[in-house]
Amino acid sequence: MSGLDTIKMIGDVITKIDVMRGSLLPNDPQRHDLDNQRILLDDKQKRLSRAVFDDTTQAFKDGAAKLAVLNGQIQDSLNKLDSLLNTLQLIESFTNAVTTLLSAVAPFA
Amino acid sequence: MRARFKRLLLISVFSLLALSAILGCAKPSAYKAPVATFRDASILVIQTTQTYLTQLNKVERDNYIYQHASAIQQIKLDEIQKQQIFSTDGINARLSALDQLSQYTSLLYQLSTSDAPDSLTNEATNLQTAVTGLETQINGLTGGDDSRFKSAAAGAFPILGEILSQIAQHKLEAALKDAIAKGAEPVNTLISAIESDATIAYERKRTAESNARVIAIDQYNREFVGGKDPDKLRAYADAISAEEDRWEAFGTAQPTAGLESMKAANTALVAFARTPRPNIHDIGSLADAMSSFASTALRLSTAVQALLNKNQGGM
Repeated sequence: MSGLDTIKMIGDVITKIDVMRGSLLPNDPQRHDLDNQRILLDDKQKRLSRAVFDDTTQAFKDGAAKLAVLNGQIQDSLNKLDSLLNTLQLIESFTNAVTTLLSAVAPFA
Repeated sequence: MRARFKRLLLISVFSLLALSAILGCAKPSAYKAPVATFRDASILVIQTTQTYLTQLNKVERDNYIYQHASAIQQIKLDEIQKQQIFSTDGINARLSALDQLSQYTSLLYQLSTSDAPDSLTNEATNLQTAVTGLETQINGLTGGDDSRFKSAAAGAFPILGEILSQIAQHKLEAALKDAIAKGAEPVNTLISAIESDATIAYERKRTAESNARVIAIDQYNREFVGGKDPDKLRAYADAISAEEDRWEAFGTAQPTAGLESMKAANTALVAFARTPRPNIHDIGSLADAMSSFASTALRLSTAVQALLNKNQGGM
């Protein structure tokens, strides 16, 4: 997986979050948690877009593989119509994994 | 426009095939149609890429402005400037690079098929001067986001300059040989670097467009929970409908397709240039490659234009 693929994958998760956000009323308490995750991922995607890094390193490959697994789990959770809480936890794990990846490959981004 | 374009392309291909069948191998003048198609399609792809690269700055700028507005925070001009991904110079350099690559490939093709290749030396001299100027411009780019593009340009332009210099000095055979042996790969590497930048621009735009869908829904739902004014609800419903149309159109306007197609067309033109006596199959393959490039460029350009129209002038 390349750096561009990772940027696209983060975009995929953001659009999934947006579908969830848009299906809740603006004042729903769970909506705020989704809004926060969205802001964080948007920021990470922007940083990753601007960073110049080597996407052939083991650190990148490991981080990107973890993201792919979590992205699959988020999709499964949505397909199974899991509780919003479960899906939200997976999204939080995804955001944390993006943060770890960014720190590993582009700490100054 | 599409029908006219197709008709012209069909006429061009038919002319090539007919001439080839009659004469055994085509006369040089018959080769002009594919190169014209290549140039036309390149111009469409360059315009599309320009739209995305320019839009990238707007996306990040608007993100900053509206996030601060919704959080009731001060907006600072120097902070707005920091949000810009590419400088104006950086965008212009990328677009000039695409344009010069397109001119270079066209020239190479004309060189191999022209009945008077010496007449192309002036064109080569002018392009060589332009390439040297652009190299200096690219070397002057200082943004961190420019490093990938600069590195690809550093690999391609010196080789192109060398080949153009040979053409200008009437060393036509040596120029063609070098172009085939050394030129094709760096040209495609440079297109790939610009393609990466355009892909990032597209992804950031997708993130912003996705958010715009939610903003339209929220507007409706706030009225639905609060005032329940039927006229306002109807207007907000229309806004949701327009936003969903835009989202749907956006999915078909990926810039990668145009630049990938440009690389394939570049490879096909160079491959054709290396064929000493092209037969009907060589001409057919070239026509197919140009036709594919032209239709991809046109489809993409139409999709981007539709998006621009939906947004009344700005994506």
